Amino acid sequence: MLRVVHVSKTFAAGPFSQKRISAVNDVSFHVPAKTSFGILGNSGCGKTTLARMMLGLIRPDSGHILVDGEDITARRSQLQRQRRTIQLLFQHPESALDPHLRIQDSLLEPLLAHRLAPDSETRQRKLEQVMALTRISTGLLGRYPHQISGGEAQRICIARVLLLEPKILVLDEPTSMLDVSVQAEIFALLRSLQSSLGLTYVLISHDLEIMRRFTDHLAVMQNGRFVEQGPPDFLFDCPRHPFTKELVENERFFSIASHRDASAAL
Amino acid sequence: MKKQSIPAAVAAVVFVLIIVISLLAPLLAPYDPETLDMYHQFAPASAEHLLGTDNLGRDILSRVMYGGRESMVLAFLATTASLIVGLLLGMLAGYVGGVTDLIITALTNIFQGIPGIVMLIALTSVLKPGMHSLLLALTLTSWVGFSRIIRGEVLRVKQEYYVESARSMGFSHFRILFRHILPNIFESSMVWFTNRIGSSVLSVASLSYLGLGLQPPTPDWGIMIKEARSYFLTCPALAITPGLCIVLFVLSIHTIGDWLRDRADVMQEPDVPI
Repeated sequence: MLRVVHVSKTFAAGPFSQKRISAVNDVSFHVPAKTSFGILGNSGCGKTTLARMMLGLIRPDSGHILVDGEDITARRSQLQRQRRTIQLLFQHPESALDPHLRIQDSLLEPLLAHRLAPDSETRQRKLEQVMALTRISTGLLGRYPHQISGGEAQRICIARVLLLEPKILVLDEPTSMLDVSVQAEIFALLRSLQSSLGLTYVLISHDLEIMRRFTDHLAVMQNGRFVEQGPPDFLFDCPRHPFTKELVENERFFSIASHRDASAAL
Repeated sequence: MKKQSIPAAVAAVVFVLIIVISLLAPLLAPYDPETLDMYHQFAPASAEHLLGTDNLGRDILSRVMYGGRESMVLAFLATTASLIVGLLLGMLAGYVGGVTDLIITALTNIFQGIPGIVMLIALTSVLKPGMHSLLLALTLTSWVGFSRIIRGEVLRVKQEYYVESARSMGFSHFRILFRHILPNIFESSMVWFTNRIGSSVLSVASLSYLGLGLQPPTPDWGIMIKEARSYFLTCPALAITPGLCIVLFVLSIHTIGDWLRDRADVMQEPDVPI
């Protein structure tokens, strides 16, 4: 469904500098349809740059990205054709919605922009369908983005991209700004959408626990490179690369510490 | 009413009063502003002439009532034209970036390098005096500010996630620019717009004072001050009255502009009580 082949991207170190900083370095992976692929790494490791390249928001310096069999890095027309196939969910859902548009207008925009619904009746029907899928109450429609909670905003963002009927969703830390209970709710929703709509997910996160629960295949990223790939349970149980080992040990330390805190509090 | 809104409310009353009086000047003015009366030169304030008469015996109150009409219309038209030019160029520069941005920024830098009043004087002395050339000169000097501010705002808004998400959903550039970017930079443009109207009225007055703007016998605040120059010591009211009108108008519109700016700042914040 999604194939990334030897993709690299560098940025100029400064306005007057000849030096270039490598953000993504020779990354390759393949995500089969209807599976979840995880990219695990610390902040600044190039995860978001990689996501933006998959969406066609920036062009890689070298390498190819194939969405549903078509190379979106080759020609603009191909990117345009596959635009709706691959969609993105942001880390900050509240700021992904235009502050000047009511929720209803934000939701209807994809339909209008891509002329996916000929008349207002069809639009309304599609809107209701997607609202039922993502459990958005009609009371939210008249509000502005600053009047809703983070969890609601993320569900609205999910509903909005679903209206484009995508096949792949790139989830860029979709719940890192949300409470734990809301986090679980969003992931449960994403799970049910995956089984009902047959979606393919690329999940970007730094949270090992989420990765373990949510992904079928996992890549560990450090300084723009994939250092290790495999099923999450396998990677976490016997990590080979020193960076993966470090991540697993850190997590173990924190979970023991929080366990100890919890017992002390009792 | 909130405490911070009181100056703005006062300013709004003054502003509306000036506009209404200027608009209705033909109905309200007790005398024709251009009729000479050589028997009553420099008449002091009286029941007949509430503010007295000038060196040619014309009623000062009537002239002051008429005096803002031309400059206000000029200022409004020129500022609107500048806003449109500035919006188009600023949005183009900020959104497209690259070479387009470089060219537009170089152009604004050149225009900004020339002091406004010097350029106004140069333009108005080359062009035929009259409303058209004043309009052109004012627009040419004030579009730069709009373009720069709007470019900066577009660069800021372009980084926002909602623009990024609009791009990733494959919306057209036209839709992104006019539906997502423009409404989000409009408030700051309006603040600058109100400030520029005040400055443009000042510019018209300065040019008229120098004899390059509106031409006598048009009753205009700038011309009135110019004509009163020679009699300033003997009859100060002649200069002070139109001067006061200019100050009141510019001050009121700037106060309204500041209030708009403060409101726009609050709108940026999510529901935080202040």
